[in-house]
Amino acid sequence: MEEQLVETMSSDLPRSVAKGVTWMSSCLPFHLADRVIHGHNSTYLVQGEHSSILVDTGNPSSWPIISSTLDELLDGRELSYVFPTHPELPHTGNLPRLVEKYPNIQVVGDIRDYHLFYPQIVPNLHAKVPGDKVDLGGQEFVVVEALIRDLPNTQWGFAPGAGVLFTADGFCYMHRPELDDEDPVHLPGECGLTTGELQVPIAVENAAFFTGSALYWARFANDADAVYDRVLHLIDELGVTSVAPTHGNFISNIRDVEPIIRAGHKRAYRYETAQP
Amino acid sequence: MFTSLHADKLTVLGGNIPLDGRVSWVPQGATGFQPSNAYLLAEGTSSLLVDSGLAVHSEEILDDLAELIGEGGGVSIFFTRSEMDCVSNLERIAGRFDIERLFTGGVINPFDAFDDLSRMALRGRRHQIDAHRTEEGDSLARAAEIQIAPGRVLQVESPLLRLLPTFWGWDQETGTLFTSDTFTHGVMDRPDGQRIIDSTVEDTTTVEQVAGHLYAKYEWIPRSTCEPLREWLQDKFDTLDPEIIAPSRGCVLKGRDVVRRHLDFMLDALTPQLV
Repeated sequence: MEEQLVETMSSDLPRSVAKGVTWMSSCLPFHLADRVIHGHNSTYLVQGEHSSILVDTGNPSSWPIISSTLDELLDGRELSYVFPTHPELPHTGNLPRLVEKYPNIQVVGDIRDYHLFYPQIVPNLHAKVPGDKVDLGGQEFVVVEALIRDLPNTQWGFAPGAGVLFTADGFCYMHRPELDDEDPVHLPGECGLTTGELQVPIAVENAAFFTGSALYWARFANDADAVYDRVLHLIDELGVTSVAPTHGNFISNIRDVEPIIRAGHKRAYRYETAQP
Repeated sequence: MFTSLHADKLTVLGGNIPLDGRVSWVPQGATGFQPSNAYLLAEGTSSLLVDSGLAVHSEEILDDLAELIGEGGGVSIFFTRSEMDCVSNLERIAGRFDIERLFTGGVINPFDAFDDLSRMALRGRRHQIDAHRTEEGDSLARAAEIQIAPGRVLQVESPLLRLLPTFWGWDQETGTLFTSDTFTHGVMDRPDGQRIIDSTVEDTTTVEQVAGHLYAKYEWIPRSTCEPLREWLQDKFDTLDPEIIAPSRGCVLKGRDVVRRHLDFMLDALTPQLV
């Protein structure tokens, strides 16, 4: 069967998942021989009283549905900010379209390299560093150091009023043991479910497979405990109640999910016997 | 301004990146200019472009391409990575030339980054080069081949040393190894400096410089088990014995003595306690 590579928005979404935070996930359908599976590619809209910020942009192939969803959620207001977590197509691919639609939008975050990829949006680029805050009116968005990342110019974000930590490719996972794709996947009908609502829990082998593929360095760096201890410290320090990854379901029970992801990350390391 | 690396067979195109603190993949405080590279492999009337360069250099790359293959000419493209420093000129190239085939890995179809309806027609020209995966999740265990023209192929392999899904290319005809985002450490003091390090150039490269560039993007290397990476790299170079290292950015490394010297730098950089 011909591979379908056009993303669609699940009918279960957009969905409000915390105060002022809306989960807008488009899904990439993969047509396997005997079934269809989906891959989340989420964006999140954080809305305050006078401004809003979009976390990640989604793939260009999902732009029409993202654009119309923004129209619906913003109800005639301009989108003030977009926070691309890092410059890969699923996270930044719609930046030119967002600037065209909202000419005054501020692209905030670690914007190194963007002038080389998107020279036409240079006036919209505004560098931020961890600790910087964006006031949305009764709602803040705080830039946070990315503790799990692939590209070095990755940042996380946090909405204190909602308790939501936005982790880009961190905490991405698939949760079906029988699935065999390296991308974080789920079945149709599960697109809009939180991890607390999933009937089949995440398995360590799924987390290991995804981590070893998408966070390739986990094969070589045997430091999962150090990484996830820092993450837990950050969660405690900020008062995180839920985690919003770009790929994978919204995590409503982070204390249950973190040990599984940590164990999977440990298992992804390949050279245990090579250690002195 | 393009530069021929091997008469009628291999040309490097692209511009320079000012290292002014706005680039993430170089060491903090790096200065000077880093070449950004796209390579045109040619055989008769057939052409294969390896990466497409940076959007900020699109005008010079497209003009050079027009001079090399003719305005509106046909060209195939191979992306070593689906990262923006490799793919961000795809749409502009498609608007001016005929992209005959697009070889790329990963899930996302780069043609879907286009706005216009032509992407639907272009999608059929994409060739997935990592369709088969191993049980451990490796996207491509060993070489696939891209036919540049009858009798000439580019061998493609997913390297052990990588960050994101990445493919190296090997062109036996010119002895060129395309290494994508490794061996990127060659920078220039001036924008009109020598973008090729060969036996005619005073090579002031140090292992610290190589390590600095490697760790800037591969930040996990210093805390990692690197022996398998060193072994893989040594074996690769022993087997192929390349004459040219052609990275997606940074100076081209040309000549077997130069290649061997820079391999040694890289092997030392992959021994972090020595750096």
